[in-house]
Amino acid sequence: MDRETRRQLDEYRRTEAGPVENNLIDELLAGELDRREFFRRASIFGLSASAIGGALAALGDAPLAFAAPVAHKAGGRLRLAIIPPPVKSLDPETYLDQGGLETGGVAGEFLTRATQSLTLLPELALSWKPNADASSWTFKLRPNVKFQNGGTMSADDVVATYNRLLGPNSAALSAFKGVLSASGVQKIDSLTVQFNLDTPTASFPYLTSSTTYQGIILPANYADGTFQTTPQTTGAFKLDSYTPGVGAKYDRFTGWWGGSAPLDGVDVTYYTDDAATTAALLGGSIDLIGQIQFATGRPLFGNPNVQIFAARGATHREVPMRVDLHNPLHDYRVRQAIALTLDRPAIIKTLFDNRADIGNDSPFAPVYPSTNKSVPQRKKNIALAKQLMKEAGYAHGFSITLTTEQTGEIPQLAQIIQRSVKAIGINMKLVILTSTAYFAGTQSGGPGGLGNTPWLNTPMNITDWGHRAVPNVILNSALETGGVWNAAHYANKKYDALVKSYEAAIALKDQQKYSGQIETILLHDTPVIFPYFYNYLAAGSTHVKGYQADALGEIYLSKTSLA
Amino acid sequence: MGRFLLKRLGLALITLVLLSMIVFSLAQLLPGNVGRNILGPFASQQQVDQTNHELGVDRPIVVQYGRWVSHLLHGNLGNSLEYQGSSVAGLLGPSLVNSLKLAALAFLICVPLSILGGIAAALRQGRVTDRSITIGGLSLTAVPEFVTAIVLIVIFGVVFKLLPTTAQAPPGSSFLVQIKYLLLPALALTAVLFGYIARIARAGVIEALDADYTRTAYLKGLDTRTVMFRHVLRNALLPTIAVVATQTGYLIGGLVVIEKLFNYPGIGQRIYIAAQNKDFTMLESGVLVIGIVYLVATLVADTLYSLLNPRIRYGAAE
Amino acid sequence: MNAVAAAAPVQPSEARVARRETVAALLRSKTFIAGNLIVGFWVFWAIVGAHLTPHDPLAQTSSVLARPFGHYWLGTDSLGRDVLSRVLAGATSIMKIAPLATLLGVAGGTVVGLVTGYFRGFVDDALGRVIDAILALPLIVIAVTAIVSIGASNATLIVVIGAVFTPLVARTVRAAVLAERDLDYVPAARLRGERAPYIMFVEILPNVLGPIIVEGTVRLGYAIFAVAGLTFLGFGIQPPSPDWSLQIAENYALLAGGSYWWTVLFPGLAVASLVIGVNLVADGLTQVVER
Repeated sequence: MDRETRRQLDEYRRTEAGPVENNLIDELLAGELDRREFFRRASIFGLSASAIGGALAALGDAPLAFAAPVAHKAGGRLRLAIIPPPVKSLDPETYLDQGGLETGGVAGEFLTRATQSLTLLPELALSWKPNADASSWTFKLRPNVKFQNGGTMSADDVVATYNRLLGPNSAALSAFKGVLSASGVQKIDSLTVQFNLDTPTASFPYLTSSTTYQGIILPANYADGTFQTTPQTTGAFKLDSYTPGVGAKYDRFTGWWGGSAPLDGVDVTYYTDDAATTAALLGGSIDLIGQIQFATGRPLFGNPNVQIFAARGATHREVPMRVDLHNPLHDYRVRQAIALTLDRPAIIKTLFDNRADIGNDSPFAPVYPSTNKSVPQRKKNIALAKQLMKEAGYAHGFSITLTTEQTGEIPQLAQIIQRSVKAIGINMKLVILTSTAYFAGTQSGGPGGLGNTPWLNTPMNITDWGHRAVPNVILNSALETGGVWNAAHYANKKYDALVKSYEAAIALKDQQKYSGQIETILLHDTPVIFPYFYNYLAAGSTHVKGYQADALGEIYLSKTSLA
Repeated sequence: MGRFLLKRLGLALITLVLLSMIVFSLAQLLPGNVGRNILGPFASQQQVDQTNHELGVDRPIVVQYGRWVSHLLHGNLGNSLEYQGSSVAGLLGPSLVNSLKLAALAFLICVPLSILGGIAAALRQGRVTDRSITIGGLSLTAVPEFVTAIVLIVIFGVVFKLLPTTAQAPPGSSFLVQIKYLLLPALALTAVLFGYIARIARAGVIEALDADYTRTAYLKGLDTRTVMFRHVLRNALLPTIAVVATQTGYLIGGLVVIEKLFNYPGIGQRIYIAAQNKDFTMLESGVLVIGIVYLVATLVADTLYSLLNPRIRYGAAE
Repeated sequence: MNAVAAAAPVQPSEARVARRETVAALLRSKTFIAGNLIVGFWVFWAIVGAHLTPHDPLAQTSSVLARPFGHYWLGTDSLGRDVLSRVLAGATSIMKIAPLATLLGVAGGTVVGLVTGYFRGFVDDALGRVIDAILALPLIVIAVTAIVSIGASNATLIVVIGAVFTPLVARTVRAAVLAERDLDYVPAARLRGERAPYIMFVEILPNVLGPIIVEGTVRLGYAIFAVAGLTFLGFGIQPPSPDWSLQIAENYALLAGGSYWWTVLFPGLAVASLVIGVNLVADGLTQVVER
């Protein structure tokens, strides 16, 4: 590395870099991080491009090369299929469903954007920095960003948006609980916002990214219910018309800070049926489908007129088994036995044609760098399963009901599980509800503290979970004592303490230390089976250029064009 | 004639009132809390109670029914509980229009085809033509509508790319383009109804051909064509009209499966989703609207029937 | 005792002769025989079920979506299960639910039809309007509302479909009763002092049995459709049952582009054949009974 680069890096380390950034560079130089992982973490911690380049150059690396922008043709309207349609309102802070987040995401923007490789790119925030122990984060906002209804974005708007996100009606509470409360969001000046966290959290910037899909930045005076009547986001397209259950129309926003998007507009049609979207794409009536499932979209694969967009991520299914009822699932040996009947490689071959990663019964997906890969993968073992059943006193098996929803490949997974547990004498009955019925009811109060909704209260069920850039939300809400989405009603103090340590850990090695312990505890207790983490899939015609699938399903069309 | 119509209208109105009561009770059957449904799982119980009070759902059922009816009579169908901020009328109106368009096209294709088929089969009774029309019609009717629809989509929409696979034409399309989009579902519906209507028409024609008055007409010296048109056809049409009217209920509100497969925003889909999502206002108004359409259709059918059949008109049969 | 009693000894043998003639006519009807063959085939498989199928209909293998006319005669589905075995075993659920629903509808409709047809007047008008009102409701809506409220189960399906059929059967029965009530034996029975229920169920009912049976078989065809449609929408029979409509619902998305057609075609043919069979039986009955 030449002297000038070395001098710049040293200067950076001395003056600008805090303990967090310096620690990161130390890890890189000590060989504890590979280049890609360094790049990712550097983006989370908001290191500038020159700092990144300098650090990598210190390794003797070639300078970073950024891909040249793809030449595109401007014009044309993209015909997009979104399935299923949004339910209820389009106010971003209420988004809980795929339809809502996709509809809002075409027009809205976030402080940062998560990429397929789990890095963070600046969007409405230009840069961000943690303090010494990652308990406070300062974000510098992009200047001259216009809202579609007039006005320019400033810190007031960001603070108001986050106050709404942290308020009582927000669907994002589960992500922020214990991390940030409304009092912690402060305006420093018109283009600087500071987030003072309740707990030091090394991965906080993910919560400001597109991964928290409710976090679309809106004007400070945004009134609920107006999202579909007045375009007022900052994105490249404005929502000009919306008919619930039918469709939506977006047109190019000429005042977009990013310039001019190639597409003239986007015409969305809502679908309720996977087969109809497949037929529409193959028949040429639409250009892009927001989400496809392998189980129902098989005819699209291998078709020369279709391109498949895939994003490896942490989308998964959870199979919680309530630990607190007076039935055989109460005993951890029974739960382990059930988990041991599953032939996971065969499952992902049948359901996804291997477009998935095998899960090891914890939220730590293989795609996460902090996952401790030295913990052995659970494999099918009927002999051991039978032995465990015998030890628990259920050598002759028992009956149990599995309740779940009619979504994607879940009914097939349910049938596979039902068939697998037969080998150890378990007679499983299936109850498959519509998604509406499965998620209906209350989520708090009542005897178990989680209301009466099926997905949080049935003895055994399967629930779909979307991708998260880090496993924190799942570690908390699904498995912590008293977690709002803790369908297994699992309560283990040791686990809770380990999760706190994991979330506060900044160095990758420390994170992996704690994740290994968490994975081991979960393998022992097995409150929830995580059978796989599958790739998020979308499909479009070969005319669609410049589109990348997002692991969560956000549809980002600012750089997309039609050839 | 006027008295007859008035009487029928009066009966229809009574039926309508009964229908509204049945629909209202049906919607009350749905479990779930209205306020909770609107505000979602994160709102506090206090907010939920307040919303319930504002909407008036904590009053006795009879009171709620009364309020609903009085709103209806003022033309206020209320707001959708599911899609907040949207009025029921604003969402139901276009859906109803869509369903009516599809039903109209289906009738336009199916009814003449079925009547012709029925007549042809009756005229060649017992021979190959008759057999093939009857058995062919029966086989088509026996295939569930979703199977027929899927097969049509695959063959005409995907493999041969002759017709669009969705039924909703882009907004502002011309009349002909809209027909092109509606053709596949209309064909699916024709396949379902053809066998039934053709059979009824055939039975009517056979009965008419055997009847005394036909023989009389021939004896009077009328030629075949006049006999056919004036007597036989009328007799074939009578039961057909009755049957067609009863199918209206199915064609307007019962097409959930077809609408789902063709992604067509008809009224069947609307109420189906309303039933699933406990959108009481949408469900009640939607079902009532379909009921009204059905009653109007039967009224029209009865009128046509009596016009064509003098015996009913002058009350001889009663 | 009067003329009726004197006539009594003559009637039974007349009735018996009439019945024998009917049966003989039925046995001569080709449509009736053909229909019964088809229905009988499926009844056999409904009873025998998975015991005689070449493979276990629920056994999942790794041969996912294998083509037909190979090792698996009709191919396999997306979980590697043998389609032939599933088609053969698929008759069971629908054979349980559809006939019971029809029976319920016919029983209910008969009672209502008898009452409205016999009493006429206010009862007839009032019930008639209620019947009309119920007929105006789409089946799907009633079924979904009921299932969402009560929960999906075979019993719910039977009750819902039976309830929806009652008014339709009632109409037919009423029409038949209207034709009978003016015949001599009805006022004669009244003069004898018989009470209304006796007259309706003992005197009139046997004479309208013909149209009721025919209506019942027609309703059976519709019941099969209703179950199939509701199962297709996800409200009927639950997985992993090899029920035909469930198979179609699970696999129809794979049809686009003409791929994997065997997973949908064969269960579809099965449903169609059963409905055709039932309709042929109904046809045969109609031709003979309404002569």
